[in-house]
Amino acid sequence: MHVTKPQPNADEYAELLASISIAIGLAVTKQPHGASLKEVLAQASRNMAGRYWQITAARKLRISPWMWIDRPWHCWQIRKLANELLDPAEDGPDVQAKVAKLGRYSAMVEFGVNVNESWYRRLRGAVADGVTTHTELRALLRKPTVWWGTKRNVTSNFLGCARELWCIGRPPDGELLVKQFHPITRGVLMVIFFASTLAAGIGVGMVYRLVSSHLGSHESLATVIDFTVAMSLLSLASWWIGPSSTNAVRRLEQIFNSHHMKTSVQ
Amino acid sequence: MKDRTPHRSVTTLREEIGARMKTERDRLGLTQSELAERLGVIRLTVVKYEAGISCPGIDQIGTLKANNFDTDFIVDGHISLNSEIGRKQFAAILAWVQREAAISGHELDITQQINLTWAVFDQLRRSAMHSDINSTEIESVVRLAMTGNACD
Repeated sequence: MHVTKPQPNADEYAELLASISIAIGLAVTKQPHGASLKEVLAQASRNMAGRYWQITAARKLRISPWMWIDRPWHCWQIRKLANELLDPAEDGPDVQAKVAKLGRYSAMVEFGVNVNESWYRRLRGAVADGVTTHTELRALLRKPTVWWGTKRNVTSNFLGCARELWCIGRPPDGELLVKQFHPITRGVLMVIFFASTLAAGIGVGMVYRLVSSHLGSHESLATVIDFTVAMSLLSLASWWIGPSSTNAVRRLEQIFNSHHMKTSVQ
Repeated sequence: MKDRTPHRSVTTLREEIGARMKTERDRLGLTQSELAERLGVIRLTVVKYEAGISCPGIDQIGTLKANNFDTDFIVDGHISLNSEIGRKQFAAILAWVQREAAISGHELDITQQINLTWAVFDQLRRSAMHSDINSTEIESVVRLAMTGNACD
């Protein structure tokens, strides 16, 4: 995934100047007298995470063709909401809800996780700080050890129950949870990974032997190939769910606990 | 009847200048005698300056500047880029501006980055002098600036 860099624009510069000035002004009033520059700027950063930022981030998000293929509904919603929110007449009570939705959809398209604006800013901040890249972060957040929270609808029908089941163990709505699997689960996955890799290796050896010595029938060769492919796929899957996801948690913890992102991972 | 208000404000101004002059002297690690020697005055004159009884003249301001005193800070109370502290603050604000611009998806050229940094630096050093700054006032000022030519 790539986010192309837009060109400097005088109007956008003026908008950014205004939003930064307001954020700094508010930070000065919120911080106690004698607060350090670092504290004032940290407060100003929190002030920046408002409506303007979410709309700007969504407007400036360059949606690649792959993103359209990957999440067409979210991409379409981003375009629709960003245009609606730019309309000066759009000032109703549902604006806040629309802005929140826009932030969620932008996070979903950009990083593949449905998180709130605070987390979205943290993710973008990590990229801006050079701690990680869009591509790496997006790949890490796709691992099965990463969970994001969703709303819980208490309904008694089948879909409600299914949703309730799906929500078990997930964090609150909009939050992100990065957590290792239980050690036993990790151990089992590791064993499956090594066993399937070994089996796939043996399968490759058997195929080579059958092909090179012209021994056995086509049927037995096909059976060995099937076995090898199955073991290879199992090896790949167990690697993705097991060791790869374990490493992803470590890397994400490193990213989220880095210099600018002091809040620890849940 | 003589209006004493201007006189009082001049006294306050002298006291503030004197206090900032002492801050700068302390920062540079000079004694009053050493400063007096550099200014070509007696120590008592420096004592008077710092107490706000009298004020250094224009030629002495020049001498202070030549001796690494942040004269902008002494005169108007704003930390300037003449001082190392000011330059460090400016660098910290520049890094913050670059980060915020990157998070928002703005690609600013170097002039825009410097202009934005200067705007924040100036706003902060002014607000440090007037900590009761009103956010509504800032917003209205920024809007006024935007309707004009904020980029110039």
